[in-house]
Amino acid sequence: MLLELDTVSKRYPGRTAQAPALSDVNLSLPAESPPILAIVGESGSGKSTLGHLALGFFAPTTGAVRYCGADLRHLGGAEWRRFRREVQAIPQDPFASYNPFYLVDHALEEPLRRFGLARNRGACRRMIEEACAGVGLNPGDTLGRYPHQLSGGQRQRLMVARALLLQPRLLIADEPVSMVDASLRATILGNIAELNRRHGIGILYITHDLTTAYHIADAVVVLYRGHVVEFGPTETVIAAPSHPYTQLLIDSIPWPDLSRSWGSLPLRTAVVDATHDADGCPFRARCPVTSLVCAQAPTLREAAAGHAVSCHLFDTQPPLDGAAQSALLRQPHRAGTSHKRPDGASDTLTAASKGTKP
Amino acid sequence: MSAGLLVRGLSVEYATDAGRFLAVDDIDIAVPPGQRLGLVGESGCGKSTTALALLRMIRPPGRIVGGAALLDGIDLMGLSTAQMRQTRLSRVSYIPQGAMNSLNPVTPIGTQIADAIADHEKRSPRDALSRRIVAALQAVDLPAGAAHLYPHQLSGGMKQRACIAIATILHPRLIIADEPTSALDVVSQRHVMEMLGRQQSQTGSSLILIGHDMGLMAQFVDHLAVLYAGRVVEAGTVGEIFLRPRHPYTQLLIDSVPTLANRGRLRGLPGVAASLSQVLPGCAFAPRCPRVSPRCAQDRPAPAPLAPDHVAACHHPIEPAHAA
Amino acid sequence: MMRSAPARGPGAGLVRFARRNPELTLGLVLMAVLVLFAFAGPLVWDIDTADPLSASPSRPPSLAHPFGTDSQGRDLLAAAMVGTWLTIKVGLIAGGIGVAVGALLGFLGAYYGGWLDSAIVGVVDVGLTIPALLFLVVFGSAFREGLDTTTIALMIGTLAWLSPTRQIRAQALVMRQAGYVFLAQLNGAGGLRIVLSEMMPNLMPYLMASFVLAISQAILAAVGLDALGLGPMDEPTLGMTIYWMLANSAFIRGYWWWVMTPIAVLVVLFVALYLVSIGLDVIANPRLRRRLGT
Repeated sequence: MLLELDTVSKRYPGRTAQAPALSDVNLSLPAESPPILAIVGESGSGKSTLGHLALGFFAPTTGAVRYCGADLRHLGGAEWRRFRREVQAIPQDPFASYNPFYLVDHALEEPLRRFGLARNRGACRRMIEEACAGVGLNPGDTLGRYPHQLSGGQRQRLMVARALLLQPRLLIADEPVSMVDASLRATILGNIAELNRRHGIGILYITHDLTTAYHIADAVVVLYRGHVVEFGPTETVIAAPSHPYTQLLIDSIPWPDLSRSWGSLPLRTAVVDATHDADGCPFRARCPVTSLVCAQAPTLREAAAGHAVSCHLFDTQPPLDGAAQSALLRQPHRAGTSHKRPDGASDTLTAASKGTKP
Repeated sequence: MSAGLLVRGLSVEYATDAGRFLAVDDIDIAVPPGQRLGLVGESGCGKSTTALALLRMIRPPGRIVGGAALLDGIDLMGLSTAQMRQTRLSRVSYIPQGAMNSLNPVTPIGTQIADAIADHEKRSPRDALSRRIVAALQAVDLPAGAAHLYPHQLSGGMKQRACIAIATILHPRLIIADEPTSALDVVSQRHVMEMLGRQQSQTGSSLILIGHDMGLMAQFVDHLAVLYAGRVVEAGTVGEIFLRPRHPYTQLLIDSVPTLANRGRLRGLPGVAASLSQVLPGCAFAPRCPRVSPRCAQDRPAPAPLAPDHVAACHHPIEPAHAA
Repeated sequence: MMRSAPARGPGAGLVRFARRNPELTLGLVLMAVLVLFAFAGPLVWDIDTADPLSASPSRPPSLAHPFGTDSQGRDLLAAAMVGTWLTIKVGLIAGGIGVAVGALLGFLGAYYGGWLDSAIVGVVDVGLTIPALLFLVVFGSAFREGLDTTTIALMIGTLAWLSPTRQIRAQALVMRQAGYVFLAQLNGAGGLRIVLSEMMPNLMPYLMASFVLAISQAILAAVGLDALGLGPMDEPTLGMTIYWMLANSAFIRGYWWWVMTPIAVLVVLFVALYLVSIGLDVIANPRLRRRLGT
């Protein structure tokens, strides 16, 4: 198992009155041909917290984050260095990620130097130029400049080149294209997807944009206010969204197509009061189909093959425990594989509840 | 027609160490009252600069060097500094990108709305003022209690809607929204745009939406103007432009946007956006254009009407695939 | 399309710099004049005459003594030359300690947070409530014997780091959230390395401005101490000249040259430091920059 979040909850210290940033999240990525897993949610959903937990920047309040089976809190010096080298990130802001005092080369040379990946300066230079070319950048046009001399798109592609350079095993991409023009997103997403397809790097793609997740992710996990509300193969979740929040998300996407209309589902304004109501479904204040039973928190249940939802509409299905959730998520989903909805869910559920590791 | 916004030949020049260049180069746009215009283009194409020019907020080293902007017949470029200050918010309002960060963090929302009003009108009785503030908040789907809240107590979408309330409280004739939803998720974005549209319809003002998201443009605006390197390369109704894009850049823009329909067929724009400091004698898009010819590098194309309410500045416009 | 090509060459570059930042240029020129006065002056003037009993006492300015002499027979021009350097030296030492310690504590506290930061902030907040001059007077009175300019500089330095720590910490707290700090952490860099190689270079203009400010404050404190009679009795610092001038009732006796000498030099010094700090402020804060052309 490359990365594992085992019943992870995170509550920020000093903010006990508010809802926890994450509640009981289970997910895992296999070490063998890891996929691109998208974490989709709005601001406040906990997706960035999840990213920071995966990077080991802080520890969860409950539960454990494991890399290659080892809990991040118990890593020794050499193990921690290995972890740091093998788990990298593509940051969100293409401008702020570069130190304005140095040339952009600094952002690529530093990790090579610190992790001892290049034998000498010449090798270092060669590796950097290859990585630039690997993402479609001309080294002569981009290296040797200050950050403000490059465009946002170039800077972000250089960040992807940095990831290519370091050849990590796991990459956390937190909103890598949200601050880039819509017309450039396609190119950068292509570069990121190639890191996975060609170089076998597992990717945790964190975003609020379901459309871009659709384009490169193999599986999608939808977060709302720190809870996993739905997950499954990308095709299934997008084509047949089961949770009302996912349906609302898809319905609100503006299409560049005049024949499609925008937003037919009604929007209910969320309450202004942010105090935490511990019980009940986190979405019920905005849900168009809420009912009395929603005062109780729903649990994740399997709605279809590999597709799980946390909503009382699916209370007829048996619930999934933590291990079953992880196993379900790990079922091989590759872009292009079609998943049909079975009529009965019982046989797939038996296989999942056995907790078989791949 | 003297109502609405009519811009003719607007140009903005910047002076830097590397020389002078035109960030906005001789653009013409028109927005009748009650209509919405989208200004779309990549970063650096001059759309935000155009907005700032209309507000007369271009600071040195930038300078407006030409053109007129008639709002209901009055030229904004000809107003004095004091008149322009009065005009801002009361006749022309601006919702900046990341407007939520423009809210004063130490003042409640209601007070900020009251301050905006106080700058332009004589003092009114307190209860009339608070009724007005509550009405403005409710018009953007915010509860009355929000008037006493501080910005940090609101979500991103709510803050943005509060900014819309401030921008529309004095019923301006022109609202300029510069990427108002760039930091928001799609649901908040939809909500914010719905509120903006509702406010605009109620006041009958003209609206300019600046952005780079063609999807949002398609769903929201009536007319579209595509900018490249400070020039308008195509303009027309949104239907015309999406169904029959004539300029190659517009076509590439539309095709490059990831949607839920073109999975696996992503096509980015080739090359890098034009650097404004290198001015070419011909068409600015020539280095990246798939339909370029030798004439394009020498001869700058002027915007030409290719159909009713559809102009494009191209020597080799794309022919429509089917009859109009 | 107009294009104005900027003039080339180092001379043109300097002129452009001077036009862009007149305050800094003027300040640096004045400082250069003073430094030249202090260092090149002794080459053309005999500074041994800065000692007492070198010349006829209480003489107004003349060709032999352009700044006149004081009532103990010091040539005031020589005294000014020696005193200028001594005063600047105090500023440099005390100001240097102040900003160096301030930067170190400010950055480390901001970066690490937690108990370290709380401890630093606590000490700074308590320290800032101590009236500095009072502290220095008490401290200085206890050590009447071995008090030379270096000792005074060190003494002032013990309090000089309090305010810079707080200000630099505030800047560093903002910088802490920067994206490039996050990236450096991803590179596996440790705290000290991040502070020294990623954060500090970006704060250079601010640190320089803080340094200049600290120099000014240190000089002011030193002059104050000297003028109260707590300075070195055998070194003709500008402050000591003021002390002797006051002790010998120069005002009443009409010895205007004795009054004017230290004051004129101090005025030039403070104006120079002030202009340099404004000029550095302009570099640190791009919004204040004067625009070219238009």
